Amino acid sequence: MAERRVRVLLAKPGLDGHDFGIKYVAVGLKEAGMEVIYSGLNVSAEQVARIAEQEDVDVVGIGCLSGAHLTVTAKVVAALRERGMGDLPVVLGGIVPKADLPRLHDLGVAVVFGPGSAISDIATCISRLAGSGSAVGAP
Amino acid sequence: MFDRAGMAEIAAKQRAWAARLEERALAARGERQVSFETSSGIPVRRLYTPLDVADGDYLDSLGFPGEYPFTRGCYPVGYRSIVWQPRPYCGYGTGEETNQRIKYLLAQMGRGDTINVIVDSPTTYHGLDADDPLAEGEVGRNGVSISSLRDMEDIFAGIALDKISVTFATTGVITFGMYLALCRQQGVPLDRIWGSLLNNPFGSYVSCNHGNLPAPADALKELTDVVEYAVRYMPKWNPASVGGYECREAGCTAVQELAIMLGNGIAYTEAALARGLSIDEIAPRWVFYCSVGNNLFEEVAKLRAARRMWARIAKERFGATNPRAMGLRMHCQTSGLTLTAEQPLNNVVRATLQSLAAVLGGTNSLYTDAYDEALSLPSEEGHTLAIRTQQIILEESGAADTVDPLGGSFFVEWLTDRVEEEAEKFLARIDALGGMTVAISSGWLQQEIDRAGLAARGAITRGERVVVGVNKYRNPAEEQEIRLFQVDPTWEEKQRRRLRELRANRDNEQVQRSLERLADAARGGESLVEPCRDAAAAYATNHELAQALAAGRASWRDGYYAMKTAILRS
Repeated sequence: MAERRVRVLLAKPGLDGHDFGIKYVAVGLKEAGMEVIYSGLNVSAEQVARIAEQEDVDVVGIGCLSGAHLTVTAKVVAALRERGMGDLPVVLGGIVPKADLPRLHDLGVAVVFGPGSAISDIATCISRLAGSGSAVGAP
Repeated sequence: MFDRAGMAEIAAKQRAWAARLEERALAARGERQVSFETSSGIPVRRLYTPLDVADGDYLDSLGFPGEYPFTRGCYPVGYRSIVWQPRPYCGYGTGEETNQRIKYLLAQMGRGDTINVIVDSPTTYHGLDADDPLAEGEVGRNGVSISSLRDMEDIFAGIALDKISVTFATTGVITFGMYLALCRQQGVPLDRIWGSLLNNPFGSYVSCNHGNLPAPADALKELTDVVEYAVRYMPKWNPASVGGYECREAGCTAVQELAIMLGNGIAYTEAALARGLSIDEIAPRWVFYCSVGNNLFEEVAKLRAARRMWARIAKERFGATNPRAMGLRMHCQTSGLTLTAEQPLNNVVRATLQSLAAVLGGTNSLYTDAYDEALSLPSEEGHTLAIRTQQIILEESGAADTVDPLGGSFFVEWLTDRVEEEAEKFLARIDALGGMTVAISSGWLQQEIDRAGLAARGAITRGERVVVGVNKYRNPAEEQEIRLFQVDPTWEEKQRRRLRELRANRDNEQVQRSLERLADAARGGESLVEPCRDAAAAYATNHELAQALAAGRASWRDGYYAMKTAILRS
């Protein structure tokens, strides 16, 4: 029986429109053998949750460079919970000051990837989270 | 440039030298890399001699500064009389906070007369007001929030508008209209207003998204409204900054950046010509602008090649006769993409070398990134050190004491020619497609930029391209303590409250009338500038103005988003 490929949703909620980073991650994760669904720019939290449900993803990855990561993450996590997907692992990539990491973990983000993170690390982490199906994982 | 017999002798002696010394040195020690290339992939040889520039003609390809082909610079005496303008980016929170930082920066600069105002995402990218639900968490975060003329008044409180050159890093007429309204309110005549707009929609499409950007033809129309207005009434206002920069920051090479910058210049020029303006009126109003990357000599070559190429385009393609139409003025910003979050103090060195490259290349205006910009908006310390960097280059290094100091270097002249050649090839591909409008809307340009960016990131991941502190010379145990700029979350609430007050206290009937006038102008294809200024003067908000403008055009949202993601389907 063929093993199901890891399905990951990469999303850019919020108003920021710099998308090279998330496209770079998308291409890298595809090359690592995953099914990557990219939400496109400026999606709402509700749209992220809807796509996550429709596409039956294993992990949701949020990209945020604008400094709005706390607001954006809180909304996405709330929208996922509202659809009964509160257990879906969420990871975040972007520009995040160290001081915000505890708050993000409290919100339910499993791992935060800063600039310069290696694609191989991101892929390994996402695979692990997809396997465990748990919202809280140690990095 | 050199005589035949002399060249033959040099060639012969070089062959002998290679056999005697070079080959022996290589056999003994080898080289530290397999190959050496610029960021654009131009191979760099071990040594350059007069043989590499023998075919060039000094007068044809270099000439003298301030004269066609302008390779050596725009102004005859260079920085000895006209120093480049330091132009720090500044903007966060509400007008009040930005006003304070502007005053601080003007004082630090000494000459105190140039500033570049950056505006937040809700305002400039999406045509939203600060109290729109979609703007939540993003107000004043990556630029100043400008929801109405009231914010403009606050930004420039206590600043004499006819004494400073202001650039707005925005696109289209809205911010411009608000600034015109402010100047009118303060009694500054149009011909004394000094500054520029970014106004580079073709750069924005492929790099940073404007949810609000219309289709290219509509964007060009709005851009040309500003150009026409400036040509007719505002001799000291540059209506657009033709860039380069955004594409380079999105991942393309220096050569591609140069070609794209010129391609955009051609597209904007053609739109203005179609409006009935002449090349000799239009081209002097462009400021070109680009990033400054790490490879110092390539960046110098790029700026020199840019001037030579634009001079030829203006003269031969467009028939310019006004020298000011052919002499390309440039604003440079040091590369944000090259800054690292790891070991942020290393960024001081990067921004310094990049600033030096811009000066050696003859830039006319320069923003030096602060060392903390990979992590947040610049702190006061970061901004100050960036200003000092330029001051040290000017006053202490000697780099600004003679025009085009690297002119005549065998390597730099050769590289200038190579960069020009390669950029010509890329520009020819854009031309073959039908120009920049087609190159963008078809998705071709976005994919080229994405592919270049992916290749560059791949080289970094594999360690082929070294990033100090990131893939080599790492030190994860060491924490460089720097004080980061903090966004105060109460700014957003303050802005929302002020907007509510504004809406309650303005003459809402006048606002409605002026918005209808603007929408009529948009539908009728008239110039948007004065109707926008008048609506702004009545305190119409950013979103109201954006809605009125949208009355005149179809949304390009679906086509735009499809274009952005073409690389993922290829």
